[in-house]
Amino acid sequence: MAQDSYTEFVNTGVGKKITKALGLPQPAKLRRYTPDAPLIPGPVVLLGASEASDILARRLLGWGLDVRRHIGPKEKVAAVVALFDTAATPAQLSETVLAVGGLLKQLKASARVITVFRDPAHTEDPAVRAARKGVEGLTRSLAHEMRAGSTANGIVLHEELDIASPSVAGALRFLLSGRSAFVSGQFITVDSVNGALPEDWAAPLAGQVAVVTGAARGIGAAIARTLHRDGARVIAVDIPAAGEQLAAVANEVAGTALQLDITDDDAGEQILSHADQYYGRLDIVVHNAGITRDKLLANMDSARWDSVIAVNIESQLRMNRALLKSDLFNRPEGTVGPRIVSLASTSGIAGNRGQSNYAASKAGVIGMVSASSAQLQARHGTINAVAPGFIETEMTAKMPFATREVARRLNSLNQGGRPEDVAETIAYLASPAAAGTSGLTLRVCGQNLVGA
Amino acid sequence: MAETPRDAVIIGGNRIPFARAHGAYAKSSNQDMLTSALNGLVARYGLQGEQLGAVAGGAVLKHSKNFNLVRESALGTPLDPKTPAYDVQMACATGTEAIGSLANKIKLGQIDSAIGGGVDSISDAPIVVSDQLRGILMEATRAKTAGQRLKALAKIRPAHLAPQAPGTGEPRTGLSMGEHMAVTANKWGITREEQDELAVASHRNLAAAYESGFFNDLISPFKGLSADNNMRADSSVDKLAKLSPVFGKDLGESATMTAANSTPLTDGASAVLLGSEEWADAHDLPKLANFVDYEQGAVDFVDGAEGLLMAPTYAAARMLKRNNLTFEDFEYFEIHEAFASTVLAQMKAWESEDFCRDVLGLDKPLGSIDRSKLNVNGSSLAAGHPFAATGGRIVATLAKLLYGKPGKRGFISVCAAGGQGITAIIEGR
Amino acid sequence: MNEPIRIPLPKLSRLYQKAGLDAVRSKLASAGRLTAFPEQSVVADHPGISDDQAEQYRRLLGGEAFDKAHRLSLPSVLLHIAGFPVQMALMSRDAFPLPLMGMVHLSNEVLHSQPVGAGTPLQILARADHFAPHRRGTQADVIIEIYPAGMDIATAGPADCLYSSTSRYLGMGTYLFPKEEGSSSPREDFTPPPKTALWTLGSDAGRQYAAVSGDYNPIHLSGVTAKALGQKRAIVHGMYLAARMLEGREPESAGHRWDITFEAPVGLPGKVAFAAEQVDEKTQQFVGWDPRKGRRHFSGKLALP
Repeated sequence: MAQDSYTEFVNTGVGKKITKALGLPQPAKLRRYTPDAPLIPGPVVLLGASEASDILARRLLGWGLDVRRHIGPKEKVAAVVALFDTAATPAQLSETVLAVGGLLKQLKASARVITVFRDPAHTEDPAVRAARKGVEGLTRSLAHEMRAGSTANGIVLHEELDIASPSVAGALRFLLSGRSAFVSGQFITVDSVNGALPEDWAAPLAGQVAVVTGAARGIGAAIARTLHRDGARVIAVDIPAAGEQLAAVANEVAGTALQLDITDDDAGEQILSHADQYYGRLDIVVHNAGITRDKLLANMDSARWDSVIAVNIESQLRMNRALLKSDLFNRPEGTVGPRIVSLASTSGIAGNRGQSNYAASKAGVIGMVSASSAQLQARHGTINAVAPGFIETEMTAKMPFATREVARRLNSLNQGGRPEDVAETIAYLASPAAAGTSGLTLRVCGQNLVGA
Repeated sequence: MAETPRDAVIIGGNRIPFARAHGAYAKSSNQDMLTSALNGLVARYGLQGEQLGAVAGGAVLKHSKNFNLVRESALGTPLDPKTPAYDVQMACATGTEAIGSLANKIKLGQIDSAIGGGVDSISDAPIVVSDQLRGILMEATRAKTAGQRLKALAKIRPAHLAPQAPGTGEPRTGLSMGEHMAVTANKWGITREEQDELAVASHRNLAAAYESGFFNDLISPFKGLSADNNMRADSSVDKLAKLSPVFGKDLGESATMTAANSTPLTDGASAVLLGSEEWADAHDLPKLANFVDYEQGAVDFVDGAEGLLMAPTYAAARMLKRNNLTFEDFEYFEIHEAFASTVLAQMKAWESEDFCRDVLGLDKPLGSIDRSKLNVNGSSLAAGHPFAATGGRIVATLAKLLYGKPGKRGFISVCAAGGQGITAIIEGR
Repeated sequence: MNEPIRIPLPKLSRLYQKAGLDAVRSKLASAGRLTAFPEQSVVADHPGISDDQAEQYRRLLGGEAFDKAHRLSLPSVLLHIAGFPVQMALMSRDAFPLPLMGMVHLSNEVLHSQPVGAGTPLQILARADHFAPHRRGTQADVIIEIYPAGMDIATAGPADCLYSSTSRYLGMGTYLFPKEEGSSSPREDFTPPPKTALWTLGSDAGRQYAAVSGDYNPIHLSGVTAKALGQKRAIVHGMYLAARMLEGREPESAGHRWDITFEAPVGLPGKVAFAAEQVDEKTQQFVGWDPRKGRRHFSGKLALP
């Protein structure tokens, strides 16, 4: 992984003084998830008076958190949860927004601000939609204003959704926790009451079987490790040529290695047959495998274009068809069905010079995910995508220094993310507590300026 | 054969690609390679933390420091360290012997699961000091006083210091395996053309098997190599015809053995997972084929009474008789291509009425082998032959070929140095 | 035959020194005439071949150990080695008409009747016979007979003889017979059979065999010493070739006969192609040749009882 030595330098005493004096970016050491660390290290202030507020307060108290309605001016705050679910006009936002603003100077490092509101698309009332869109805008701006590794994100509720639904709790917990360290300025929509809270939050995927493609290295290996840590049994898939690293990853996560070219016509069937043979079930498929073949479109040849499309999107479409035909990839009982999580990219959202093929394939993933949601819902399942921004991997380590340094700082957290940050978001989307979220593309980019 | 209490099931295999000597694996030791092959197998079948009945295998060329090669390799994997492991040695038949004897233990109920395999490195072969120097050094070690030690060490002469690489020659004849085979090939009238054809078929079959993805779950890459680098998909009889003989040159015009129809020196490792039916089921593992039976053979080659690499012809006759089978009962034949002429001479012997009657004592010849059933996914001429690793390659390849063909049989023949060899029967499930 | 002269077991190094002197003062003019051949035989007591010497021999030839578990009976060539100093003593006597230097070993024929173990005390008798013309000089047979210690050789019969060997030598350039009497046999064509072994002999093969046999004839030791004696390279001992030919093939209970005939000498270092062929159930024949030039170095035969 690329070394972000600047962030390390800034986080030393001397380094902090020097870089501050020079007006340089101040990347913070992000609070990241470990199973034994507290969910959030300090008081959580709940703002906004509504019925929902009581329900959320009980939920937070149930997790053993220090929940406050008010807090003294000297106390440090670890998180602010601001409820706007009843906002009917933009003018009604004022009280809660200003209360949030009053707390910003009291935020601890790596604090969280979470706004909760109803989906703007679900109302035809201009004033209501204006109010809800207003919350979106203020959340994004807030994310830009955050310092010291803090983030601001929103939870967007379906119009009719009971706020007590498990997936609301799941989203809230994800955003509060270190799992969302590199997620900022983003919105998690919760559309259904589906979902279940795990018996053990340290092992939300216990008993489940997950396939990770492209698992031999980088983000794929991190996904395999994270899913394993969360209790899943992992089938690590990669091309035969990557078999040596793949075996190392599979052995590390006590899983099985499946050497497979995902562009094979029967790749989906091969995965299903492996899962059936070795585990007798399949719960989670993470389409992580992808390639880049960068070239300006003027110089693009068919080999570069076609291979990127074939690996990054066509293979996923084909594998999904096989998965959705299979009885193995189904949990008829209960409300928690199979999960597909695909890797998109911020390039797929904003486009990128020299990456017309890659951006097309990744935008294709975003389209596929939103269009497949209904099919998955029929199985109580979900399909989502994660769009990483600048992540410190072997691949980005090969970028020229200046380009890498600029790309790294071009976000609200002033640093690149780690493969684990992407993996944490995927593990969350694959968890039973995220069963209410589908068709979404969630960015893990530290609120990258590109495509914001 | 006598009724066995239970089947020994071949679950699967893994090998690293075979690399021509002093190439891709030049800096890898036997232990590095075997550990990698085992790690790939553990990863493929999810055996992390598993306590197996045994891991057995070996290397033909072995450093003295690798006295516990297989155990040391197994300790380098995520297998439960309580899994016993031991070394086996039967020259080029080492891997096959390890697998066969483990299968027997499973059949007997002594163990429920096992890994058998082998490894060899030409690139990291043990270089030893001369016998004289070793004698002097040992004498110095035994010396009780500094004076005695000095006196011993004073005997060292510059000539003693020349390192000695292990020879590929047979100790009792001083002849290389190729020279031995040249005599046998000449005796059986094996032509240059049929040898070259066999070599080309080996390369083409292996390349086609790679192309079809056959090896996707049989090989995991090592040191950046993902396929056997001796393979030449574009090999042709015309190209091979241009090469000069390298063995049997004293036969003059009758010399037929070239570098292309002989296996190159190679580095590599392989491993095969075996288990009882119950063990495989309990661990949700596939059951590719049964390891039915195997037979060792040895011939008196020292004074040329029989060819060095002809032992499998004898073993086959006994094994087939014991199992009441003929060649017609087999779907596939895996005959290790030490040299193209080895395969051809063995087949000629089985076809020969005189040989089968007078030497093997059979009523009629064992008969001919349909070439379309022979080494269908390539063999050692193309893949290479890291001595002890060949058995694992063959058993895993054949087991996969027979998977899904219940009751169909495969025949294995592996010749070995010292005039030995093994034949084996496996049966699809 | 006269009563043999009993001599102490000779030291080979002394005999070679004497041979050197003899070569200078030449006992007979090369054109001289021989009137009578020596009939006097010599006999020496031998304390028995030591375990150490047997072990040295085994290390050189690589066979089974003479530890009474693997092998009890000593190989014929080791008995030859034991008898060699006595043979040399006979040949360096003034009565022996051929000079020791320049003597060429032509062939050897052995009847190894009884097994002999290490440490068994022996009597070794040597005598000369069959002086005959040769196109390149004069040939003679030197016969060795080995008996158990203490036996009265005068009354001993063939059944008492443990081992007998006839070494045929050529006194090169010493014509004891009129030259025209020399039979010149045309060189026969040799077509090498398929080889069954290839011996690789290092440049030290002569020194190694010398260390075991005590036969430090300079012609075997190094290129320099060989050149001094008119050879291009050091050549290996003929009996070393016999030893390799026989290694692992002699029966433990003895009773076998074997012979070897030497042709082109084997230069060191060098390779010898070798073929063993089973003639019948009890007979094997052997041939060794230069794998590059196709010249025959030796041929031999072994007949089991």
